[in-house]
Amino acid sequence: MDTTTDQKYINKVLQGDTNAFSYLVDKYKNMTYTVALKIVRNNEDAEEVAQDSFIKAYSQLHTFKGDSKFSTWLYTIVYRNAISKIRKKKITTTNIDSFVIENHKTDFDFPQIEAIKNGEQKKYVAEAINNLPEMDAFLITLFYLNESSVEEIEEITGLTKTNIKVKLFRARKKLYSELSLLLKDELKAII
Amino acid sequence: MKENKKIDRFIKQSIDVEKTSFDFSNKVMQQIMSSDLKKEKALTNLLNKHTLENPTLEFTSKVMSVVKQNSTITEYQPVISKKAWYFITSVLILLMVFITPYFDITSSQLNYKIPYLTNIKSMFSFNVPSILTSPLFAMSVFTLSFLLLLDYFVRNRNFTLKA
Repeated sequence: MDTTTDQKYINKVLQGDTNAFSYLVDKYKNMTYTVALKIVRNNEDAEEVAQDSFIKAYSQLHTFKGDSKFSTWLYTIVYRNAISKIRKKKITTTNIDSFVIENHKTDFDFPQIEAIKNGEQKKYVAEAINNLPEMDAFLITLFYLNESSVEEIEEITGLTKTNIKVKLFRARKKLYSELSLLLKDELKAII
Repeated sequence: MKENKKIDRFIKQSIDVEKTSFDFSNKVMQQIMSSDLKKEKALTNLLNKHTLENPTLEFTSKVMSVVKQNSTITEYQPVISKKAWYFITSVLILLMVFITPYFDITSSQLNYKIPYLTNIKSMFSFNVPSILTSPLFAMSVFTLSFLLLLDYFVRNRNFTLKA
């Protein structure tokens, strides 16, 4: 249903209705911005990467064959743009794939669960994700938020399935440990 | 001493390893998996609640303004349409094929020998400057037309590729 609607708007754009592209921008802007932010770690750069990605997607829309979801195709562009951005800015000094944050706290001072208001939870979740290496944070975002399959992530990043699974396992373990208190609360809500 | 050994053997035999129920392993594994699933669901909920970020309010308008600028460039239409060019080319080729052989280019006067136009021959008999009837002039006109036509097609091809 979602893919069909996307395709309908893509066809409109290809037939010359430029305004139809705003539907796709509105629909995917938050996720595009979020995944870009996980890699570039800076609001201004993330917004620039997201905008460039949409503009590239528009100019290359005729090459989109519809074999995969539009979102998968779009996030491939976002991923490449974001990687190119951080390489240009030289934020990282090591290879993104083997990037490991050293000396970061695995069990940072966590306030009592009662003290964590809902607004503050966002801060702790963001901090926990930011403590992950960029690539792991990106994969976690695609996997949990966008509900991308390992195959789709493989298409977006070019990493092997095994590598993705290992990275996801590692990131998940780290998040469980860093968000243990918040997760307990969430588990109570589930049960 | 022998008595004690007998008692020990008896105790050892009586405390044989007890067996669990048949589906014990399955139950343990199910509990582990269910616990993992719950943890996974809790993590998904937590991330879904707090991870999605929003760009600035004018994000869509910024993207659309650039997209519209780009689309106006790609919507370029040539002044003379493709069909018109085909028509002009066809007419030129027809004229060259049918009329050129009837030119008497050795004299300064054009002598038409077209059979079906003999009755209006006088209408088409006129004097033209010798330069216009020279082979060099005809070749120049032909080459120029050909280059213009080639230029049009090359430009048109580039626009198609960009769009």
